[in-house]
Amino acid sequence: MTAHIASLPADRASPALDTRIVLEVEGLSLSLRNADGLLPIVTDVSFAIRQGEAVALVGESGCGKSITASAIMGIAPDNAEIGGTITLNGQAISGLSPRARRKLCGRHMGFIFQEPMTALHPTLSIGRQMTDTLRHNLGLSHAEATSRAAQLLDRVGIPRARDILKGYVHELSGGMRQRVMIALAISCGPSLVIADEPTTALDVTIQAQVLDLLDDMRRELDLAMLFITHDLEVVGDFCDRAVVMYAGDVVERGLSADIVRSPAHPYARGLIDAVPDHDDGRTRLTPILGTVPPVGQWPPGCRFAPRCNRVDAQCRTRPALELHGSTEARCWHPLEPSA
Amino acid sequence: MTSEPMLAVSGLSKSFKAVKAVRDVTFSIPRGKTFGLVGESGSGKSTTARLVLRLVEPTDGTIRFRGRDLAGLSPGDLRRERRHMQMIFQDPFGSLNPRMSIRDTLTEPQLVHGIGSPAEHLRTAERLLAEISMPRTALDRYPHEFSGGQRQRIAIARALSTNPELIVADEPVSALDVSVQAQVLNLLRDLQDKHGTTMLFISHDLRVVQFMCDEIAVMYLGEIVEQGPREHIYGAPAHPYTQALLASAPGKGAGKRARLKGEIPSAHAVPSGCAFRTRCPSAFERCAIEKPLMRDIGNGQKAACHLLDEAKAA
Repeated sequence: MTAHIASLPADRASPALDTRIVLEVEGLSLSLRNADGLLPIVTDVSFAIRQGEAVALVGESGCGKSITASAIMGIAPDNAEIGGTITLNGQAISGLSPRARRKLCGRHMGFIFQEPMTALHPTLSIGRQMTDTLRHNLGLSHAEATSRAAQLLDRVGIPRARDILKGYVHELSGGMRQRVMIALAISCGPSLVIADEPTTALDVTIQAQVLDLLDDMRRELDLAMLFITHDLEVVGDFCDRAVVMYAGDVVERGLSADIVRSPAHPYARGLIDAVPDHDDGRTRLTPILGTVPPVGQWPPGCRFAPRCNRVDAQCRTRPALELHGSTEARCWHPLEPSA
Repeated sequence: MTSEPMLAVSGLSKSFKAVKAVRDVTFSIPRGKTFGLVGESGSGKSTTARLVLRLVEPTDGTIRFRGRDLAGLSPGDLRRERRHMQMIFQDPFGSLNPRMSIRDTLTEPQLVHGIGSPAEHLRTAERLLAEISMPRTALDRYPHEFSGGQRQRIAIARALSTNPELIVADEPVSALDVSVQAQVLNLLRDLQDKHGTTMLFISHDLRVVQFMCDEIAVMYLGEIVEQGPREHIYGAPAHPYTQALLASAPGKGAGKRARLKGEIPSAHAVPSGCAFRTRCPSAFERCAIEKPLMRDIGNGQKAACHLLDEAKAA
């Protein structure tokens, strides 16, 4: 899109530009304090999520996506030093006291974790977990909370909701547990839901069901959603925009359709090429050579340089996140957009 | 080529008390080919792998490996046969002994099976390290010093150390990140080309199975529901379950295409008739009464579904 189109009325009518920003992360950095000093884990992460929009934080293990989410949720490790600002519905939450933050986030943020078996309480009934949350955050009476909990379970597609409320997490299948997590996450009418690898532990047919449910909930409730995943194909299907992370850095940012189709950063390209596609007859995959550098051993300059096939002397200095074609990439030698 | 298949499994079943984990599984793998078993958790694919190696004793059925019936072998003969069949497991953290150096890890199987002299064991270990692109210095290191992808490569080298004719790989890349996954899959294919090893490859990931396998069997609740050459299974899936699996895979757009309802039933209470009928979008009366038989639909493709009869009658 060229710059002058942005001023046309037709473009301003686009809902994506009109809706308000729910979450804004600006220059977020996180370091862990240990005996040797500060160990940087995440540097300079910035993105925003608007109402009704799903944004993906994508990367492989160790790229810093989950710890970025934990900083937003306010559950980063105790020895973490966090820089930058996190703004929820216009209010800066990064500087709030833990108590004030809990109060705000309990109502306005919902969380879905990868492993519902560990995220949900094993010895409290499902009903108790749900009504506690509802009563604490919304001040409902016991009867109101129970009836609301049953409605919520019904809404996320759990049959016999009243019976399930009396049951426990271990009695449910993986897919049903994840539905309970979704019901809990949306129970207090949040504006933001953070889902950390919500379907990674599920079978493919159940994964499809749960992704569809999340997508429905986002549309119906006009939720802003932060979706943390390693799977670029899920991103292409379910997220409007994507932020690709590598070694604690944002390496590419843009519309997920653009990133999946024609990424500018060689790492994003590598992630796509490494996956066997359904219909191509390749006899070899294109792996990314080497491994992710461990935290504390990042190369100066571009952190992907040691594994990159486009590397040259310039890559010894750190590139900025800049617009190349339709997406922003942190790269000196971005790929040409494909037709 | 009309030579006998490397592995021929017929009517294989396994019950753990009331749980029918694997029911009447039949397939064969020609020499040098890769056969894929794909299915969701609880489909019986891993139990089938263990049955094939006789790590678990079958309740019923026969396993012919290199032309010999494994069930009829004495414990001693079975042990001798084991050098020709090796396994690669999902978890490279659990499957390598943390107290064994890589040297011991790679030489022990040869020692156990009495292959060659100690000097030859070491030469084989060095050659295998070169094949998995690792330096010779790795010999004196321990599993914890390696990443997940490197460990899985070591596990592959160990499996190859007895020069086996069959490798059973149970979800060998599921625990790895995608970029590392690609390295390991390439390695498996290269080594297979080089050594002509036959492979039984088990995975829940349809993309990986398509990349690796010549022939594929789709399992559901302990049974094979469809089987055939890769291009037909992916290009023209005949069984509603195969169709649903392919439609559920991510990367196909968020469009609300045919999603399967419900979840895989418990193997304690397998539905009557067709086991898939409780989730099948096209189930009809007959499916609850009569179990569909595997029928040939041409091009080497077979499926067990009453719809195929109906289509033929119409």
